[in-house]
Amino acid sequence: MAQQTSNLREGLLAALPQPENVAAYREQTAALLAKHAKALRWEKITANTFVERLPRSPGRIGGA
Amino acid sequence: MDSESRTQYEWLALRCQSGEAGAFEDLIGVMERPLLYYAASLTGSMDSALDVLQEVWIKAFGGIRKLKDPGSLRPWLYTVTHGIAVDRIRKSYSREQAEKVQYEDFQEAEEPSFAEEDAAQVHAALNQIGLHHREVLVLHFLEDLSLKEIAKVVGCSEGTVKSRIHYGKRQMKQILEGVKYGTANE
Repeated sequence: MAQQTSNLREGLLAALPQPENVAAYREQTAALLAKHAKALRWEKITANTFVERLPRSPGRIGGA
Repeated sequence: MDSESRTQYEWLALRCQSGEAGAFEDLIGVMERPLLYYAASLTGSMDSALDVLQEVWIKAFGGIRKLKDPGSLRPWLYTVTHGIAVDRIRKSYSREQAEKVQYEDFQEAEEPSFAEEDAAQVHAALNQIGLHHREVLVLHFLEDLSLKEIAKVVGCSEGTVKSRIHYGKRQMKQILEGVKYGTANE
């Protein structure tokens, strides 16, 4: 049953015609990915900088 | 969908949420074609579907961290796609007109091809049924989503989804039998 569903799924996807403006879509998606990757890198850099500048943990507070 | 596939999608969602490099490319690689198929089944045009998909990625990239259950990645993406596509339909047509949408691009694949077994015929038959039935059947055939998941995607009750699948399949069967006996497009 699962195999039958999988075959139907693949068959339906294969029947999907190629859109005309796929080149523009690919270009925009690549730009979006690049922009997102840059944002993620920047986020990591700022997070690391922030963590490094935090004062060292004094260890356990109010320990037994 | 088996549990192994579900785990793979869940893992992909977690990778995206943690900001792993390459995870979003993988997400696009895995979900692009099925989401495009779904969007095309709603908008009736491949080019509109691509525009919808572009918006889906923008929303998905920005919102995936808010996804509480990584296991619901696929239903969530379909929900996002549904929302964007319906907005576009509302802007472009009235709902009644949308019901009558025939996907012009899909007509190319309309001629039954027995060499490709049932999928090509199912694809062509989907083109001939109403939007409500087509939408739930695409989610059912394409992703094997549960009734609960489909209900959440399309924004109606599980009973309504069950009914739409039932009547959609009956319509499909009639169309496919027509194709089989050569009466369909006469």
